[in-house]
Amino acid sequence: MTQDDWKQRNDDIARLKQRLGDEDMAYQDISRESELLAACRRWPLLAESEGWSLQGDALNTQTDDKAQPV
Amino acid sequence: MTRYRRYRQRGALPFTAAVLSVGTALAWLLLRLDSPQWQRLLGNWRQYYPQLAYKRPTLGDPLRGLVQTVWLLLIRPARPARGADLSRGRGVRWLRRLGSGSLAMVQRVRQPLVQLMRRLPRMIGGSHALAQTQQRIKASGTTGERVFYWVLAIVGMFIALLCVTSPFNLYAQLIFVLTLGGMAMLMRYMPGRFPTLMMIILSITISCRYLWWRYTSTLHWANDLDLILGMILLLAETYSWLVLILSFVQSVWPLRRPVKALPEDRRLWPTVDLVIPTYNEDLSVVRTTVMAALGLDWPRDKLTVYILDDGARESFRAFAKEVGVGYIDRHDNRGAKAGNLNHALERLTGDLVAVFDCDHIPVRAFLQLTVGWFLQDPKMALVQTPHHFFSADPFEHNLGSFRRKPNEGELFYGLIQDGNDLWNATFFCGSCAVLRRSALDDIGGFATQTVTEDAHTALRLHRAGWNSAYMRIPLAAGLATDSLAAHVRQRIRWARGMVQIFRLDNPLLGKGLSLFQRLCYANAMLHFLSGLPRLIFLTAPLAFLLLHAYVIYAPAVLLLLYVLPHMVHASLVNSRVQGPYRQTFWGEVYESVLAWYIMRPTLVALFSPKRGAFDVTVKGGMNQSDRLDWQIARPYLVLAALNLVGLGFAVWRFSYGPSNEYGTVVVSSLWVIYNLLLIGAALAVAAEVRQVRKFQRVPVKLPAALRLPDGHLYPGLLYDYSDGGAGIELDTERDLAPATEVMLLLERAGREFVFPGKVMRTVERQVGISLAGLTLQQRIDYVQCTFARADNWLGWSDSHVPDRPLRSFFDVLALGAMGYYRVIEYAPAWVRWPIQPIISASRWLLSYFPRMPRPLSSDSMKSTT
Amino acid sequence: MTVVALSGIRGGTGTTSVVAALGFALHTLGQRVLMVDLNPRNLLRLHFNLALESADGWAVAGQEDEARWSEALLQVLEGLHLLPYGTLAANALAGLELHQRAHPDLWVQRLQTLHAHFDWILLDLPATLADGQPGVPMLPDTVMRLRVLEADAACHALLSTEGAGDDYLLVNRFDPISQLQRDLLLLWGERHSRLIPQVIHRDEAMAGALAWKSPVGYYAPDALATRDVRSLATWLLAEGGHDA
Repeated sequence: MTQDDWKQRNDDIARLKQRLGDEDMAYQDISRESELLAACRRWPLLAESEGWSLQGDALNTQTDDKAQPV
Repeated sequence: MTRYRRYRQRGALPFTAAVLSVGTALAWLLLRLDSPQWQRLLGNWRQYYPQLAYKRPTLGDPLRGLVQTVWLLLIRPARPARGADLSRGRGVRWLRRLGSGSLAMVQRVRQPLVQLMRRLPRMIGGSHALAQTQQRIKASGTTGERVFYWVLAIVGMFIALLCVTSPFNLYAQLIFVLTLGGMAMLMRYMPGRFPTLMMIILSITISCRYLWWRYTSTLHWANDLDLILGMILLLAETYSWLVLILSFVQSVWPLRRPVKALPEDRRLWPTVDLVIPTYNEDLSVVRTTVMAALGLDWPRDKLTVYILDDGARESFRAFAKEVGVGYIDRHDNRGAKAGNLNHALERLTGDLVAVFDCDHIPVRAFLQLTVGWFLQDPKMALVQTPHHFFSADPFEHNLGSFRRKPNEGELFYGLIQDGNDLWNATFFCGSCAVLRRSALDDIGGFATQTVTEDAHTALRLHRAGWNSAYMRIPLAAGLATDSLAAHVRQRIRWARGMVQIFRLDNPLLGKGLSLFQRLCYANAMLHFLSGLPRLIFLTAPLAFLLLHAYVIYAPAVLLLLYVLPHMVHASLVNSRVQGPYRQTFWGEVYESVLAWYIMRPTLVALFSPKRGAFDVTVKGGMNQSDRLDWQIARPYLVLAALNLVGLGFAVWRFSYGPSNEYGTVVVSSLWVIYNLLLIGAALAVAAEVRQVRKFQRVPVKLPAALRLPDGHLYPGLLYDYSDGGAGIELDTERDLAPATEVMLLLERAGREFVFPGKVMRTVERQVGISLAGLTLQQRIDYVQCTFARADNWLGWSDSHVPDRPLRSFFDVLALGAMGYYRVIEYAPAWVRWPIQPIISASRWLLSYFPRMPRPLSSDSMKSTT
Repeated sequence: MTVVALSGIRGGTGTTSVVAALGFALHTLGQRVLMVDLNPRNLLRLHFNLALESADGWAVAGQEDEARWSEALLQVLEGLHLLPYGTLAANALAGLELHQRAHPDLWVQRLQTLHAHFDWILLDLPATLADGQPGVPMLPDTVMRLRVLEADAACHALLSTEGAGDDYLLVNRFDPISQLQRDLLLLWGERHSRLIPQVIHRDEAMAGALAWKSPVGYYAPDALATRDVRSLATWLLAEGGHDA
C-alpha cells in the first residue's frame, strides 16, 4: 500500500463518500467540532486565541466536567 | 541392515521392514539408482510422494508409489516448484488434442453469439427503427398510444395463455423447452434490466405451463391414495410457484435509493431520541452500543440516548448514570419489546426515534445518512438500514463460508428490502431504523398484538398512509446468533409473528394499502409458511417408492421435460437477480434446515394466532466443545433414514418391479438422492464448530502503531479488534514479553488516540493486545476508532466469490455428503462401530489415489540444480 | 530543483534532526539531495558521522576565497550530499555577517550554481527567520518554507501572536498521549490550512539518531518516526512536486 492510501485509510468519512460514489456529499464532522469546543473549554490559552472572552456565553452555557489537564 | 533399522525407526512392523528393505535392495540391483536423475528423485521423494512422506511404512506402499509414479508421468508435471499446471501433463496433452477440435468448433459458434448478445441492448437502444416507431406511436396521440399498448398487452397475454395451456406431445414439448431455454441462455449474456425482465417472463411462462400441466394431466383420479398424495404435493408446488412469482415481483426493480443531503443549517435538523431496548443481555454487549451512540455525528443538543431496560437492572442504571445517557425501566414486561418501546415513548419528546437493538453498533454517520429523507418527505415515517453482522452466523461458521459467500440475511437486506422500497413497502426490522414520532403516535405506538412487532408496525404505518424508505448502506453492525439452536429459535419467532399478522391483520384485506404493498407483505408472510411444503418435497418421492402411489401420474420422461426447464429457468433468473446476495441453491439449504422447526409454530399460528409466548433471541456465548447438535439434527436424521429406506426400495423395485416402471423408479431415485444431499447439508449445519473467542473479533486493515515502555514507537497494521482487545501486525518482528505494558495508537480522520494495553501473545510480527483498563473516555474513543468508523462495513462483501449456478449446485451436493460424514464422525460409538469398517476401507482405498506433489523448498532446489 | 528551508518556530524543536531525516528519506525515494547547514551552531554534520572536532564547512572554506565555499561539499552517499556550516571563531562570524549584509543575494546566487545538480536542497536554518536577522541570509522567493514546531503552548502562543505567513507548519515530537497536544493539533488543523497533514511522532528513535550519529531512517528503519518522515517526503514530492 502506498503512503497516500495509508493516510486515506484513516479518513473514514472520505472513504464513505468514495464507496458511495458521491465525493461531494455534505457531511458535518460533528464529533470533531465538539472535541474542538471541548479543547477550547479545557485550555484558557486556546480559548483566548480563538477570541472567546472568559466571561462569554460559550463558557458559561457549556460547562464541561471532563476538562482535565493530562 | 541399516535400511531395515531405518524402516523400523519410522514405525514399520518387523516383517514389513524386512520385506521393504529386501525390495529396496533388489531395486538397487535392477535399476541404476545411482544415476543423477534417480538421485534427484530420491533426494526429494517426500515432495513427489506426499502420501508416503510421513506415514508408517506398510506393505501397500510400493503399490502407492507405483500409482503415483504412473500418474506423475502421465498427467501431472513432475516439477512441483512451478505449481500445478494441468496442461503440462503428457496424458492431458494427448486428450486435449483429441478434444480440441470439437471444442474449438463449439467456441467458434458460441463466442460471436456471446459478443453479439453483449452488444445487442445497445444496438437496439440506438437503432433508428426503434426511435422511428416510438415517434410514430407518440404522434398518434394519447388515445392511439393507449390503444396500441392495450392491443400489444392483449396479444401478449393471448400468446402467453397459448404457451401455458396448449397441450404438446413429447417432441413438441422438447422443442418448446429447448427454444425457450436457448433464448434464456442467450439473454444471460445481455447486460441491463430489460433482458432480466425478459428472462423473468420466460421463467414465469415455463413455470405456469408446468403447473397447468400438473393440474390438468398428472393427477390419478382413479386411485384415492394417489389422488390425495398427489393433491398434497401439487398444493405444495402451487405454494412454491406462488412464492416464486411474488418474489419476482418483489425483486424485479431494486430501488437503490440515494442519500438525501441534510440542509447546511443545523438548526433545521430534527431532534432525535435514540433508544436501545434491552431485556436480559449482558452489560458488556450494551456498553459498546451506547458508546457508539454517544459518538454519532449529530448536534449534541438534538440527540438523546436512552437505555430501555426491561430487566430493571441496577448495573444498567449505574452505567447509564456514569456515561450520562437516559435510563428508562419498567417493572412489567407486557408487550415485550414493543411494550418496552411504547412505555418509553411516553417520556420521549424528539421529532424522530432511532431504534437500535442493544447489540447493533451504529457507525457515526448513521443519522446524517438517514435523516435527510424525513426532511424531504413530510409523510416519511420510517427509514430502515440493513442489519449487518460482523460475526459468523451458525451457517457460516459451521460451513466455513464466512465472508466468502453471502449469508442468509443478505438476500433480504441486499435485494428484497430494496425491491420493497420501489413499492413503498419497506419493512421495519426492529433495529437500525429511524421512525417519525408523529407517525408512531398516529398509529398508537408500536404494534403489540404479535411477536414480530416490527413488521406489524410498518404494516400499520403503511395502512395509515405513511411512507417508508430503505437505505441499502450498512450503517450498523452486530453479533449474529451464535448457535444453531438460537438461530432456529429466532426464526421460529419471526415465522410465528409473520403468520400471526397474516391472520390478525391480513395485508391482502383491509384498507390503505396499494396492490403491490399487499403483494410484498403477503410474500414476506407466505415465505415463512415454507416449512410444510419443504417437508413435503423432502418426502414426496417416497410416496411412490414406499407406497407405490403415483403422485405424479405421467411418464417419467415427460415429467423431466416439464419440471427440469421450470427449475433451470427459475435458477437462471435467481442467479442473475439474486446472485450477489444469495448463491443459487443455498436458499434450499437454509429452508431445509428450518423447515421442520418452523412448520409447527407457523401452523399453530395460522389456526390460532393468539397462542404462543414471546421469545427473546439468546446471543453471545460459546459452544462448549466440538459437537453435533443432536437435538436439532434429530428430525433430519429421521428424514435421512426414511429416504435411505426409499433408496433401498428403489433398488428392489428396479430389480423385481415391472419394466414399464423403470423410468419412474430412476427419476424417483434421483429425487431421493437430491433430497438426501439437502438433508445432509442440513446435518452439516447442525455440526457446530467450536467458537473459541469470548469477544468476537472483527477483521480489518487499519494503520496503527505500538508504543513500548522504553519510548520507542513501531508502526503496523491493525488486523482485528474486539470489545476487549486488538491485534496489530508490526512491520518488523519485535520480541515482546507477555504482559508488557504498551500503548496502542489508532487514528481516525486526522485525530489520533492512545489506548493503554497489555501484550497477550506475540506470534512472529503479530501482537495480541488486551485493552482491559480503559477509562470511560478512552472506551468511547476506542469504539469510535473501531466499531463506529463510518466506512466500516461497506467493503464487507468484496471478498464474496461470484455466483455460478452449476458450481453452486455442486457445492451444495458436496456439502450434503460432508453432512453425513460429520454425523458419523460425531456419532456415539455404537453407531460408528458397524460403519467404521466401511469408512476405514474407503480410506484405505483412497490412500492409493495419487496426490499433488508438494512444492520443493528453495534450498533443496539449490542443492539439486 | 526545489529548495526547502526548514526552521523552528522557536528554538529546540528538533529542526536539525528533521533535516537529516528528511534528506535521508528523500534520498531513499531516489532523489538527489543536498542538505545545507545554515545554522552557525553547525550540528547537522553530526547526523552524518562527522567528528565532533571537524571544523570544515562552507563558512570556513569561503573565508579566504569567496569562490571556494563549495569545496566543503561532502558526499554522504551516492546522491546524498551535505554542506556543513563549519566552525568559526566569534570575530570571524561577525565578519561573515558583515559580508552577508553587504551581499544580501549571496545565497540566491549560490543556490543558482547548485541548481542543476540536485532535485532537492534542504536548508537547516536557525529558529528565527525574520529577514535582516543576523546570520540569516536572504533566500529566493521560490523557496518552500517549512516551520517546525511542537504541539505545546509556547508554539501556540507564537503562532497566535506572530503567525506563520504562508509557511508550511510541521509538527514534530507529537505525543498523542498528551491531551494538550491532541487538542492543539486539532485546533491547528482547523485554523491553519498550511499545516502538513503528517506529523512526526515523539519517538525515542529520533532522539537516539543523533547520539548514534546518523539520520533516524538509517539508525532505526522500522521506527514510527522513520515512517512519519518517509510519509513527509512523499508528501513533499507531491506538494513541492517537480519533474525528477
